[in-house]
Amino acid sequence: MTGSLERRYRRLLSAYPGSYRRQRGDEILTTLLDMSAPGRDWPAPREVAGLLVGAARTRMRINLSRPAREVWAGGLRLAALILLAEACSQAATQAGLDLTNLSTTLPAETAAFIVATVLSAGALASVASGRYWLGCAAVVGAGAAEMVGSHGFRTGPATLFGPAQEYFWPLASGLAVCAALAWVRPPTGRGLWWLLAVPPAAVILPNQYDATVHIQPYAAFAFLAVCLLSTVVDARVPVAGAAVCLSYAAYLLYFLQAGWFGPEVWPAFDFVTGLAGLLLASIPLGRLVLRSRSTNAR
Amino acid sequence: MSMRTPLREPSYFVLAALLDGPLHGYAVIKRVDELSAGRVRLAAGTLYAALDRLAAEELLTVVSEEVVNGRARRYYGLTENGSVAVRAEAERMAAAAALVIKRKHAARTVVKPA
Repeated sequence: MTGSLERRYRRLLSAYPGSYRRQRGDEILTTLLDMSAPGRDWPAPREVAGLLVGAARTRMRINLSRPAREVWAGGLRLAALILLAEACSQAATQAGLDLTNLSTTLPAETAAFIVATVLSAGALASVASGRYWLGCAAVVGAGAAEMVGSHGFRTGPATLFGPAQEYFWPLASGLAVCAALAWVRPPTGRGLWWLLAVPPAAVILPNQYDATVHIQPYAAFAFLAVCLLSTVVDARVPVAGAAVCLSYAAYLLYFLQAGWFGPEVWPAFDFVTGLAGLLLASIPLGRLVLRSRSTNAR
Repeated sequence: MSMRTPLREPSYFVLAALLDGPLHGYAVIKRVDELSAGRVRLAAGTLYAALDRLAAEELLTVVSEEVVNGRARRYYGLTENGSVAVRAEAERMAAAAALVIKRKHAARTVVKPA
């Protein structure tokens, strides 16, 4: 049963980083198959443990040698993918809830959430395959569809797509990170496989508490803890975790500042505009600092 | 040779296995098993982690590659540094062992607790 044993070992080898696997995967597999007893079709437990520990060590070694720019760009890319998976799961969950309550929901609003699901899935696939501007356009489209799904065309856009809406922050943060990625252009990895992250995102990431209230707060806590623990094996993961956390923190901060000053004193969009302005200002400021450092170093 | 950190046991046995000439991964595992009388049984993941570390320290290198029955094999051989390092480690361990073995029959000094 070498076929099934080989398949299982290949699956285990996927714990190693892709670049390493492409270089050494076949050789390690040859050794594993040479070592296995005839007729065996399941990997030996000590080989499984050895491969998992070896994969963790290899990831740590590669992690330490990764340049800071690559960590930053890779972390941002991961953040965009997580945020868009969250946005897609949010739209899909809302569409699902609407479909089960068709008697109280207008068909046009349900259809709008289905369109938003498709567009945010498109944004996720675009970012995963490195087409960042297309991803930005799809995010804007998904936002418009969610706006229609939530309110129809009854009121103005300032209240429709505002920071108080639960779907605002994953999409807005996803759009900001997507635009940054179009400039940084990190290398792309697995493309459409990222669509598989949408169903778990519905349970793990903070959205639609009504649908998964019993599991979600714990799952979100575990997810962020895993992001932190991943520092030793892949420094890009905590960067992504921090970016995702910023999205939630901005949501909370919005409600806090609305409570302090009242929305009439400091309108919602002023807060968002200020935050976006601060983030945008940090980019040329960072470039200026880097340029001045390189000039001084000469 | 400059002072270096003592080799870990798997690394020591991997280098010792290559003293007689280049070997591929599975042959290294079998040779280590023989040399240690079955005490050190390397898992493939452990072997390749050791090979990567030792190659990064320039103690061994890939000397040839071949494909047998459609399967990839790489042969690893000791570098000059690797040969020196494994012998230095053996001498260090022998000196450490001698420290105890030579005193085996010497009179014991018993220290009574205060």
